[in-house]
Formats: sequence, structure tokens, C-alpha cells
Amino acid sequence: MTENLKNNSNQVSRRSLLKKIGVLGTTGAAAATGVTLAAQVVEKSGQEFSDSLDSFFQKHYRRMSPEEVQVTIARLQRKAKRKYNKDISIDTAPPLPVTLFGYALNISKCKGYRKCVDACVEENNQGRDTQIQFIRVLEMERGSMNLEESNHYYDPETVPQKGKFYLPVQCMQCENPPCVRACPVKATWKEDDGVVVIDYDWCIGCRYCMTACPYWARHFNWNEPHVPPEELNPVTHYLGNRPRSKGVMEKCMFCVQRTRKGKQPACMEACPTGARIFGNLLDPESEIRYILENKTVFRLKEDLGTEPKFWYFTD
Amino acid sequence: MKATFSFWLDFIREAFRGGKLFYLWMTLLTVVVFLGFAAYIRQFQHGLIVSGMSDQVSWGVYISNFTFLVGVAAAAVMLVIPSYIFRDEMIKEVVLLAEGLAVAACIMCILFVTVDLGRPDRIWHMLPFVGEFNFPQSLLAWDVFVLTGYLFLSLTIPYYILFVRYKGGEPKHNVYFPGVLISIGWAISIHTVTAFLLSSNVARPFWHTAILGPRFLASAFSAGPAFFLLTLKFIRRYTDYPVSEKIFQRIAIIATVALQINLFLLFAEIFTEFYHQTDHTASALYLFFGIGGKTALVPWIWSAITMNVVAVLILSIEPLRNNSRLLSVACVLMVVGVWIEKGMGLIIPGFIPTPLGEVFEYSPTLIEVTVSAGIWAVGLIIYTLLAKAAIAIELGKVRYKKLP
Amino acid sequence: MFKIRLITSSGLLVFALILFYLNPFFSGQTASATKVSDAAANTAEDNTESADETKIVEEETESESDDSDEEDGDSSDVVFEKLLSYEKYAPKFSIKPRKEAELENFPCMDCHEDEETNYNIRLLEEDHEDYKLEHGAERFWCLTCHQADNRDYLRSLKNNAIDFDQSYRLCGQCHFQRQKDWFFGAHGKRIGNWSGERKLYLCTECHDPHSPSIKPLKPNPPPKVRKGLVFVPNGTHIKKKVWQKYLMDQTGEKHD
Ligand code: SF4
Ligand code: SF4
Repeated sequence: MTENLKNNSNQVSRRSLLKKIGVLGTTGAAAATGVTLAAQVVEKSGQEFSDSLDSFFQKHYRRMSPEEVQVTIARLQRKAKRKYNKDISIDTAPPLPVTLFGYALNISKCKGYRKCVDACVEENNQGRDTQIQFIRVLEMERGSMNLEESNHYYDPETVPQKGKFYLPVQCMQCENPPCVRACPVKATWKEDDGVVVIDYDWCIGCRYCMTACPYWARHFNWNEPHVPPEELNPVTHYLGNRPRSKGVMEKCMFCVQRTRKGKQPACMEACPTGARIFGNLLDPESEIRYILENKTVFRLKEDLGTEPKFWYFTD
Repeated sequence: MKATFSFWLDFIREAFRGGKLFYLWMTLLTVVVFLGFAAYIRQFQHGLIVSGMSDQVSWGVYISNFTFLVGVAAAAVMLVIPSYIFRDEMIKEVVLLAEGLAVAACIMCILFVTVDLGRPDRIWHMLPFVGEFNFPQSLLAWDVFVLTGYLFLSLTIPYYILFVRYKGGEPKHNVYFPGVLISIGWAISIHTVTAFLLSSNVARPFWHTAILGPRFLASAFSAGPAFFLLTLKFIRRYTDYPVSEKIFQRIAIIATVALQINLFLLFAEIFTEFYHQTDHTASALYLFFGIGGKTALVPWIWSAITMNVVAVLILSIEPLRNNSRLLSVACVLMVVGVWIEKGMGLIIPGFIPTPLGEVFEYSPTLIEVTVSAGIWAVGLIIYTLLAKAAIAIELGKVRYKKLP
Repeated sequence: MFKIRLITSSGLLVFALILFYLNPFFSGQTASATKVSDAAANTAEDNTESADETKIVEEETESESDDSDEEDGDSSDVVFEKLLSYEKYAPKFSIKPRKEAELENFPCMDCHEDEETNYNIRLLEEDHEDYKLEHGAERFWCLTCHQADNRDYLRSLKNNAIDFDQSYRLCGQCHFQRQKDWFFGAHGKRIGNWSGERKLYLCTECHDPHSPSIKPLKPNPPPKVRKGLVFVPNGTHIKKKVWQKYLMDQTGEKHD
């Protein structure tokens, strides 16, 4: 409201100023149009300037009042509009009540197609030139669980290959996340639904969390990420897939923009073999609870005490 | 008030007065600073993509230099310990210079961390209250805290001493001694915290060892004094400041013992890694022998070990140590050796292989090297200026002249 | 040939229930009680639920007999296979139907109506010759799973009818462990959401029933290294398997 008023008064004063200029320089209509155009440019870049000033002083997401969140969202939308010439929505949905997200992945079903990898990139607006992928599918030697023998870059004519199995790895949304403890500015934290999220506008890009993560789940924007506007997913969440800028950290956040609305994460939807099962760990009826209670499951590097909420199981 | 003002005026005047050689040295450093700055501007515009770092190896020469310099900063003040415990008057003479080195090293540390940030514009997020300082949780926050505190201490204590001398008095033991005690403890803490910053990472088995803290202290105690000794030689040659031969010997002994301990700890580490190899040996394996044909760090670490061994041989044999030339050679070897061991030999292999077993190598780009050189030049400029002014005041060349 | 009679009055239903309790060995042989035993068996311990289930069966049969009324003009004569046990404990689900939408030739009776059923096991040469049966290691042929008399239905091992849209009941006869996993969500694929209405793909959505193994595919491209850096492939550092080491030692040569 006050914002609006301020804008209005700004406009009024600018207009009167223009009038004066116009009177002073009465050389004709052409000049007047020129001035108006210039004024428009000034106004536009003025908005841009005040936006960048505001984003410099933007608060930590969890410290913002609801009104401040609204103002921030509007500004971020303007920013996205400027960059991609596209209207995007930025959701701020909080965690669902009585919900703790967990993931289970059937490694006997995973064939190494990497469909999840690309679906994730499309859903989550990772920069196409920065080549960030939240999911790594490791081609593993049968008869061994040694990650050092894995092949990240396998590219045979067809998968699965004989003698190999496939182990997709992404952020495990650790219950005891070392990355969160590492961050010097609390730019990353665990939400009530168990998802570890990042405030991309608060991160200072020190990459200490990346060093602390035992699953190599965190990825850094080494340069300004770009997404072709036609590929930009306009349905976003503040803590999820909204466009990021250079020099900040990002990682899998279980597609909060989807999962908090009951939808499946993009990787699960894309998996052609149904190897991925996502759900609410607090719901005893859920599929994931069935798996955890009836199947033989394991977690990666469980000895590190990170309590991953990402389980692997076999048929 | 007047005295303070005049002190600063004289301090600055003294700092910038010098002969041809001084100006040549300063011009050279300034040129390097500008080159580094230009490179940094480029990095600022394009992002850290201009560096050789990647998601796989996410810290590079910046943090390597940082860990090394934290050691230098810490070691400088640790020279104070013998001077007070053993009532060693000789070392006292040079403690002021050591504090100057600590200041310079601290500033370099802070600069190295800053250029490593992806978003330096948001550095204010670290401020307590205004930002969100994740204090006792994050070890990086701890590091920032102890570093700034240390910088503050190493600025105030010498300032007090110099200021009193400037006014023609004798600094009061009761005033600065508690400060010195605190800064000794603090010096140990900055290096321990930096070691913990690395060793707390369960994700990086190469660092995740309790010996890292002691190793850091030992290497700091060797490389720091060695670096300091070199600067003292420089000072003795080009200024009138009297540095007695005995001081060199004293510092050399400190460095020798520390280096011996350092080598022993390194050996203990290597033994534990290799006697029964586990998956966690991979980084060490990569560092010392290379994995899968990737061997970028192998020449580095072996040359570092060779340098350190040669240095320790020179220093441990008394006739050799007493030879001034050889002592300098040993110190250079030690500084370079420890620099490699702590940077290329510790930070980088911690990232290789990645937690997912990928062996991905790192080599710094020209921009990274230039920026690093620029920061070193900034540090040297600061140290030169501080040392010059301090020497002038210590020698009594400048004194507060009460206006009639 | 078994006949279905529609049960419409609840009185009859109660009667059938009593009948069921009286005879625990009552199996789906006698037409009049088949469906009821079905339903009753489902939730013998819970009366209200059993009533619900019965209704569902009734609806199903009703609609199906409606269909067949339209098509053949005479009343339906299909006996359905019993509900299988785990289905009743599993969380509620519905399936994405395939029969009408995706089976090209359905309804099968459009052609098969006029054709004499040939019971001889043989290679198909005129129609459906493109079906390669790579399932069951040569123990099967068409009429193992398809109803001979009414091709619009599948067939259980007990020769009862199974709807194409309930094909999981057929598959589960052999693949019972998979089927259990499927009911509870550890196998198969749920569509779209993780909470709310649970809609599943049928087995046949992913597995061609005539050749059910999942076929190899070209994987999506491998990850790229960070822009500006070059990818250097790793030399192999795969360790020898324990058994490979032993083989090598005994024969003195390498076995990879
Ligand atoms: S997997 Fe890594 S990024 Fe994800 S929560 Fe755990 S430590 Fe953090
Ligand atoms: S990179 Fe960002 S999220 Fe990670 S520790 Fe640093 S400030 Fe926190």
C-alpha cells in the first residue's frame, strides 16, 4: 500500500518535472516524445536500480514477515521477468502438517537410463550451461559396493550392462545434516517436513557445505546460470526451483514446489521402471513405510551418522 | 589526542620514507597488486568459473594459501612464548616485528577467504545481529571469529608498545603482558580452529583425523618462524635494526624442533593410512601415487617431502645450521615445503576422489594464481610498511616532540 | 459352462452368507454362489466391509453383463476369479484402465465371435503373428491366459474369467511376491501423486505380457564437467574380484 503511494507520488513529481522541461524546451512535439521516452527508460531502470538495492538488503527468508515475503516475491518475479521475459509464480507453501518426507529407491529396478536426471534438470530450472545435475547415477560393479570403482560417465549403446548395477545418488535430506551445521550464515536449514533447503538469496557461496556433504549432493553455480526462456518452468517455490543466480549453492530439495502439493517429485514421475518411491514417513499406510518395514533396505554411508532419509532396497 | 595524531602522522611518514631500493620494491609489489586486482575484477564479473575449481574440487589455491597463512599468523606470535616463559630477552627484540607479520598474515587470510566467496557482496550476512552468524555451530564462523579477534589483538598490543615508546616511555609490563598471554592462547586457537574446520568433515576421510590439529601447529611452528627468519635476514641487511646472530639461532632451533615433530606426525599419518589400506586411503593413495593414471599432485608432494627432509637435515646438524647461507636455504626449503604440504598436499587431495569416488583433478588457472599473487603482495606491502615504521620507532629515530 | 445369475435382493445375499459359513469348503464351482463367496472371503471378519465389497462385485458384474447384453444379446455367462488375498489388506487403489484405451483389437470378440476356437497349440501364422511369446519358458500359449470361449476376458488357472483391466490378478498367480509388492507400493508405478487418490499402472503398462522383461535402452547422455574444464576419463581402478584373484593364482594366467 505504502509502496503504491510512494510510486504514485514519484510519478506525479516526475510528471510535473517533465512538464517544466517541456515548457523550457518548447521546440516541438518531437522533443516532448523524446523526453517521455527517456523518462520511461529512466523509470524502468529506476525500478531496476531500486530492485537491486532491495535485493542487496534482502533479509534471511526465515526472518521476513509475511508482508516482506510478499514484497520480496513480487520483486523476484520482476527480476525473472526481466531476465526471461516470462511470468513465473513463486510459491511459499510451508511444510504440510504431520509430514516427514522420505525416499526409497529399488536398485534392482534401476536400469541406469538417467531419465530422472534430465527430468530433474527440466523441473528445477538448473542452468543449462552450468550443467548442474542433482542426481548422479553411478554404474557399479556387481559384487562390490565400492563407490571408488563406480563409473559416473558410462555411455554404452544400451543399459543395463552385464555385470553392472546402477546406483542413483542425490541429496539424502539427512536427518542430521552436516551441511546445515557447516554453513556460517544459516543459509541452509532443515524444514519441518525433513527437507534440507537453501535460501539462494542468503547464501554467500563459501562452499563449506559442499565440503561437508558426504554424498556430493551440493552443486555450485560457478557462473550465471541460464535457462532458455521457453524451457523455464514457471511454477516455482522460493525454497525450490526458482531461478538462481551465480555464486550460490543449490541441490535437490525433493521438489518442494510439487511435493508440498501432493505431487510426486519429478524424478519419481519420470522413472520408467518405477524404481523410485516417495512418501510420508509418518503415515503408516504409505508405500514408503511398507518398504522400510518389509524390505531389506540400506542407506549409503550410514556409519557417518547423517541419518539419510533416502533408502535403497532390492526386490 | 595530539600525541595520537602525531603518532599516526609520523608512523605513516616513516612507513613511506625510504631509499631507491624501497621504492623499487614497493612499486613492484604495487604492480602485482594491481594485476591481482584486475584478475579479481574479472572473477567478480564472471563468477568463480574463471578458476580451476569445480563441484568435484570446490576449494583450491585460495583456501590452500589461507590455511598456510593462518599458520604463519599463529606462529609469529608463538615466538613470544619462549621470550616470556624463558625470559628470553633476545627474542623480545623482534616480537614487534613478529606481530607485524601476524597482522599481515591475518589480513591475507581474510582476503583469501573473501576472494573465495561466490557472493562477496553478501559478506555482511556474516555479521552478528545484522546477518545470521551461525556461531557455535559452524566452524567457518568460528574461524572468522578467531581470525578477526586475532587481528585485533595483534594490532592493539604493538600499537600500545610503539605508542609508549614513541612518547619516550617504557611500555608497562602489567598492561601488555595479559594481552600477550591472551594472544598466545588465541594464536593456538586460530590454527586449531582452522585444523578443525577441515578435520570436522566426516565427508572427507583424508582430513577426518585427530592428528590434523597437532600437525597444523607443528607445521605452523616450522614454516612460520622460517618465514620470519628470512624476513629478519632481509631487515638486517637493509636496515640499521640490530638483529643479533643468536636470534637466528634461537628461531632456527624452534623451527627445527617443530619441523622434526611435523615430519614425525606426517609419518604417523602415512603409516596409519597405508599399513592396512581401507577405502579411506584413496585420497592418500592419489596424493602419493596417483589413481587411475591421474597423478597431478604426485610431484608436488614428493618434492615437498624432499624439501622438508633436506631442511630438517640441514637444521639438525649443528655445523650446517650455523652456516648462515645454508640456514637461509633450509628456511626457504621449509617454507615452500610446508606451503605445498598444507595446500596442494592437504586441501586439494581432501577433495579427490569425491565422496562418490570420482577422481577429478584440479589445477589453478592463471586468474587464480594472479589473484593469489596480488594478495601476497598486499601482505608484503603491509608487512614492509609496518616493519619500517616499527623499526624507526624502536630505534628511537622518531619520537614525539612536544610542541613548545 | 458356468452361469452367472445376478443377485439383487439383500435377502438372498444374507442367505448366501449363511450358506458360506455353513460350508467352509464352498469353492467357486457353483455358479449361483461364486461371487458371493468371493466377496465374503474378502472380509470374512468384517461384516460392513464385506457388504461394500459385495456391492462392488455386483456393480462390476452388472456393468459387464450390460455390455454383453448389448453385444451378444443374451445374458452374460462369465465366472470371475476370486479376489486374491493381499488385495484386501493393501491400501485402496484404482488402476489406469487399458482395455478400451490402449488395446488395439479390443473387444476381441468382434473377430473371435465368428471364429471356431482352435485348441491346438501351434505357431500363429495368419493373425497375431507378430506376437512373440517370450514368457513362461515355452510352458504357455494363448489359451493359457486368454479365455477360449470369451476372448474379451483373460483366464485364471482355474479357468475363471479375469477382466483385462484386472490383469494383475492373472499375473499374481505366479508372480505372487511381486503382486504383493505391487499392492503395497513396493513394485509398479503410482501415477502423479504421493498422497491422495492412489492410482496405479497395471502390470501390462510396463511389461509386455508376451515378452515381459524390460528391454535395454540407450541411456540419457552422461553428465558434463563444469563449463570451461575438460573431461579426462578415468583410468580403470576396478579391483579384481576375490574369485578372479584365485583363478589367476591357480592357472597362472589372467581371467578378467
Ligand atoms: S545429502 Fe548432503 S546436502 Fe543433502 S542433507 Fe545430507 S549433507 Fe546435506
Ligand atoms: S555455500 Fe552457501 S549454503 Fe553453503 S555453507 Fe556457504 S553460505 Fe551456506
